[in-house]
Amino acid sequence: MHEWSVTQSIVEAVTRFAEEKGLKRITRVEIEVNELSQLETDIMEEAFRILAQGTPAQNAELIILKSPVHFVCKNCGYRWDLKEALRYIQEATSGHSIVDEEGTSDPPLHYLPMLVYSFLKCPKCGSRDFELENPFSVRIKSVEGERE
Amino acid sequence: MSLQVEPWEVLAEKRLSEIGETLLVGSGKGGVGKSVVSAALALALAKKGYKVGLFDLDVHGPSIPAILGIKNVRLTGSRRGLEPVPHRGMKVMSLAFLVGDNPLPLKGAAKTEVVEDIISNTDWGSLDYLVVDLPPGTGDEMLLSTRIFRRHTHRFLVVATPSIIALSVVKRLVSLLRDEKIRIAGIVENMATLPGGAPHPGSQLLEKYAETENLRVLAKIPFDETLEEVLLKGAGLENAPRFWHAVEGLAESLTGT
Repeated sequence: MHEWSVTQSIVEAVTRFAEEKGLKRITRVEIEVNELSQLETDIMEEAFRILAQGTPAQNAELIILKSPVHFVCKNCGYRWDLKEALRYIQEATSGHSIVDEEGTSDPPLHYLPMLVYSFLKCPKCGSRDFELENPFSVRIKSVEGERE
Repeated sequence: MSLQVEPWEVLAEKRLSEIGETLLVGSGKGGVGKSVVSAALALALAKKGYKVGLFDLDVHGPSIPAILGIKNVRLTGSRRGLEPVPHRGMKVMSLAFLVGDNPLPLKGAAKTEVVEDIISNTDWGSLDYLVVDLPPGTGDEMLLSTRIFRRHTHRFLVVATPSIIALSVVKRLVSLLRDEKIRIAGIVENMATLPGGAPHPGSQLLEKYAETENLRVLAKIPFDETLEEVLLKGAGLENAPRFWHAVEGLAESLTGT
């Protein structure tokens, strides 16, 4: 359900943007979501449709791009992707899940993706000294709107 | 068109607008007792009947749960975000609740992302005071935290120990805070006495510095031999009497009650 608060923040950010730029309507919002957070795009789309009601972003097209993540070990140079990382992350985060009001359990990375540094080691050498190529959670890439 | 504001900032601002005042507890370096002072101050304020939140933003070594003896926490979330943990009449949030005993070897940009995410995701609701245990030092993560909190009612408490080494660090921190237009409440002198109760020889240095800089010394917290044992037993910070008495005085001087 974290998708709702993330989407709320997007609606409020683009509403503020519309006010600052004198836009009557927002027609298109493109956002980028880090694959690590495993935010569900269909929930975000539904939340956006509901939360944008009565704002300049009502009826805006929401484009959600999932930004792929890659990890590079600083110790041995091994490079791996989320699919491989998830094999380790799922086990490491199993005792740390966060339960929401609907009973859904989510890993901490759903809320704070960069905590991956706490739950992952290099699959080859076991070092925790690795880099994440896209260290961000959610960002707005572009907003389009109309003044009239 | 480019956006002037990030979604996380909008969410953070909304949450902070429900908070009466943020008390930022910081130090130029680690090891001066910043987290223990933060925890005790929050507890003292809660005991006075205020609605209090305690926010552990120490990305290097979150220790508030250990100080307060909070164990086996399972965090919950909702459409509004992460729920802080209720503890002895206050609400507590710490990165330690999310990672447990796992190491937290955060890289540069990831540190600020974590701070942004936990500030924007924690659903405090309405509070009189939010006590923030800041990351130590003056790096990105500390600057980011103060940048967000200074937009709302706030005061910064500089925690320092009475030594010539600590003094040089305090000077740099105070200078930075003034440049960043952060409201400084004053200095909290921790471990202000030697074991046994004699005044610490370095205490005068700190006092003199505060006077020259027109800063208040908000509290002189004495060295209390019982504190370590109290922490070990999880007996409650009120059971270290000299320490606790000074923290109560600090809470009084901040609230005027």
